[in-house]
Amino acid sequence: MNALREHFEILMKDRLGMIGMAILVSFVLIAIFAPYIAPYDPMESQYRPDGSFARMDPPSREFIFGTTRMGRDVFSQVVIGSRVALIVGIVSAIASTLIGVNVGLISGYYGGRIDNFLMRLTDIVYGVPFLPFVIILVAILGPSLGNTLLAIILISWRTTARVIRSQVLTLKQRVFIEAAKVSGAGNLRIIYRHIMPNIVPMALVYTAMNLSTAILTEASVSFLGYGDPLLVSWGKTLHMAYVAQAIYDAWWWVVPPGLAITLLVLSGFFISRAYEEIANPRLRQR
Amino acid sequence: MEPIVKVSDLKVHFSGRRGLFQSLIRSEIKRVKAVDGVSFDIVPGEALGLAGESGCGKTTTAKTLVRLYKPTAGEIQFERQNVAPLEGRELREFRSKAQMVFQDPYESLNPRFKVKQILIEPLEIHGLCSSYAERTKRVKDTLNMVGLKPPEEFLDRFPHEMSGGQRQRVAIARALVLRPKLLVADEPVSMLDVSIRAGILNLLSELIRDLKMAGLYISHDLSLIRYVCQKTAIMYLGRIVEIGPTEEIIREPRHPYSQALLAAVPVVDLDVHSRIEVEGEAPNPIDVPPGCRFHPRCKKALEICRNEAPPMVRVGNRSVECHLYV
Amino acid sequence: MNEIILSVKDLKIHYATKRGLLKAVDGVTFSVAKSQNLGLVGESGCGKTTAAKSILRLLPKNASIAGGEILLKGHDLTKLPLEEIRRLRWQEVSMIPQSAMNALDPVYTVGEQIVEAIKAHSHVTHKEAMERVNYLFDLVGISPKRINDYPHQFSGGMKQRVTIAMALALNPSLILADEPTTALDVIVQAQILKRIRELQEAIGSSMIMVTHDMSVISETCDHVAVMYAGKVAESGPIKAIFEEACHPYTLGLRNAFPSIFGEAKRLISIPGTPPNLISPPPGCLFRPRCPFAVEICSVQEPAMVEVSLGHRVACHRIDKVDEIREMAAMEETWSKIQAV
Repeated sequence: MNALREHFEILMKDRLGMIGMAILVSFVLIAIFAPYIAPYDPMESQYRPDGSFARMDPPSREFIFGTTRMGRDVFSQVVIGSRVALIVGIVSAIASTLIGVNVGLISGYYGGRIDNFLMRLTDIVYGVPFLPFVIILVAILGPSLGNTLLAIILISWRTTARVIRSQVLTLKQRVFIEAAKVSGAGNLRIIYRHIMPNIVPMALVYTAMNLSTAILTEASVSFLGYGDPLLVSWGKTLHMAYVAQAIYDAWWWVVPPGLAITLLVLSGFFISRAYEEIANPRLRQR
Repeated sequence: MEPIVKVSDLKVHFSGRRGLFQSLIRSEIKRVKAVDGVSFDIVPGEALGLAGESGCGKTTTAKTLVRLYKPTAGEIQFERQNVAPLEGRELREFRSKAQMVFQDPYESLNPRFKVKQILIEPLEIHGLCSSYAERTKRVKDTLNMVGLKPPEEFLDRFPHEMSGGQRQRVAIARALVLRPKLLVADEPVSMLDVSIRAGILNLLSELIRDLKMAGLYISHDLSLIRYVCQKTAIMYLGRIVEIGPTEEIIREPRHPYSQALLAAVPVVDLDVHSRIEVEGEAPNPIDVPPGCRFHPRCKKALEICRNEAPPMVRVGNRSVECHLYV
Repeated sequence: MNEIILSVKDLKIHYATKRGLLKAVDGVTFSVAKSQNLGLVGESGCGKTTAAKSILRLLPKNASIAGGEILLKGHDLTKLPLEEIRRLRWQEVSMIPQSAMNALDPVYTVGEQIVEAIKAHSHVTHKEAMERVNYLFDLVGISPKRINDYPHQFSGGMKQRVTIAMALALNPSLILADEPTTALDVIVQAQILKRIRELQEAIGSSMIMVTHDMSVISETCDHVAVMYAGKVAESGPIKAIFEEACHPYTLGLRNAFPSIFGEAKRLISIPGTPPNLISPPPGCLFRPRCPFAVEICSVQEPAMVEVSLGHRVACHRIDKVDEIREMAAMEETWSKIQAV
């Protein structure tokens, strides 16, 4: 509990970190209460008060962000779409951190053959281009949120693994680790009780960055048309606008989802920057 | 009294890594002979000082004694058992009886652990004390033993919330909480301010005496060793060149290196000036001179010193490894 | 008598920290005459390194000289702009740092580094500079063949000799030695200290030796200033400080050094820790740890008083100095103070 409070205190000190946190929390709330906030069903065609089909309407009192060519309310799409974005972002951030941290810890601490194997694996994953891989995997396995998530997680742990491993290499030389060995601590205890708490700040830097890249990747995948056909997502909204060749005509269709993506991705980077100041005290201003 | 620790011909060699080029030309792997045949005993309640300059192998010896390194050769008899080859459960059992205090009080404590956690951990690892309440009591007792009173005031503190002297006391408490039989101290006061060193030195002397532990005290500063240790061993380039009662060695050093070491010690006395009796610096443990290791710098070197390694010769109460005394 | 090379008067240096203004040096006065050695002795946080470095303005950005004067041959260094100070560096005042690693750039040969320092501060040709380097190496005891070696090819002691050669390159009037032998083994330390003393006499420069080790002081210095919590507790000729110390802190410090020869005496700690220099308590800053404190010590800071020629002490209880000296030698005196 103490750690969490310390956590927030430090984030609050950095203005950008605060802003990032505020944006993230707002979106999370929107996502949680989405069904109550969205005025209409995002996939249902809407009609104007006078009964006519609400096709390509600019923002109005009934439709805050206007409507699409199919008459769908853009605002509802953005609100409901936040769910996909956040699920992808948060799940992938957590999963890639868990995998990356453990790979880094084990690889860095044990060294030798284990390290070689894990690092060669990481190198291979590094060689794979992120977006094309996600697209190909989704194309093979079928477009679904789960497959997109899987593809993202399979790749994005690589940065965390490398960075954490390098931190572990330095940490394991420190005297308090030697002292733990003399006390009789076994390897697992040293890795998870002694080393891990000291790498958490750095891991969080990459967790936040992972959030951003995951959201961006999912949006890109959906934009290209490989997103889950049954779900509403910001990328899909943009995809529909593109397919309808409406990008130049209906700015209201494009700007809101684009802005939502931008804001959420930025928030991840701001938070990551704030963590970096904790993880690397040399960055802190005196 | 029967010694609780008997080290015989201990050797700790590290192999330098071969680069690609050296592998190609198949050059010999250079080995760093950090400790190259060291023998000594320690009796319970007694402190043995290991003195020498950097590169002499004293820290490696200390760390090998608590099995942070595995000996390349030789025996470490602890309570009649050779602990040199131990692994796994047996090694862990040995660890509950042999503990170490490190040089840097700012680094030897995990910055994220509170004092309570630092001290309880060894008890948890070895399954000592049957309940949390008992462990907490042992922790508090140990804090009292090292002079951190009242213990409650220190239990919830982090290392950065304490002074250097306090941190070192916590480090000593961590070693003591297991009530070990062997305590190794590696330059425990060199990073502390001068005016608080005395407190830590007095504490260590008393603990070794009162708890009847075997103590090994590492330092390059002979005046500190004089204060804490009854016996002293002077090391040079991986070997002990002189070992015996501290007062005797200090008053009348016999080995030329011991003489040079003692002559060089600066004294807080205006009438005594340190003298330089050797030139140059100790060579790297990779390039150990043949014959007597000290012969290139020794003013009293004989012809035999260049070719033959000297035997350990008994002179009165002590042993000296030098051809001059054969 | 002797020309005064450096005169520091009432120097005050403050650090701006997150928690407030830290008064690292708070009214320090000392002077160094020609060819004289002054030892600045004290423990961590006493301000000795800050005071010494301020002469060359080598302090971090958040430090500022808040008062006082630093008179080098009559010129007040605190009033000079940084470019002027830069000009003085190496030429008038040079420094031997604590760790040679901080002074030597690993990517240049040692010869190049000294030559660069020489050429930056004087108008000599490259050839003349190299000759000077040869001469300096000979002086410090390094074979001139090693001029083109890189720092990592030298041992610790040799690296320190290189930094000494660098410090002497331009025949400075004043050398600041900041714990120059702390990182060295005892035999190498003896060699280096001897060398520094010889060179200093040969060149005629003055020296300020900053250290926490009183034995190093007794080997090298003529005068001593004992510092505590940013102030000078006691200063004077070395004989006076060592044999007729008056300040309880000086006496306590003497107790803390184990002797290698003579009788093995019981070591006595000074209980407690130095005060918080951001919000120091009123009165004498040593009072919480002083066995001889009386009421006035918590109220008023003691002023520097001259007790004999050149020997000054800042303590309210000077009148009882004989009693104090006797009691300070006993352990019970100090253990009465409640502290760890």
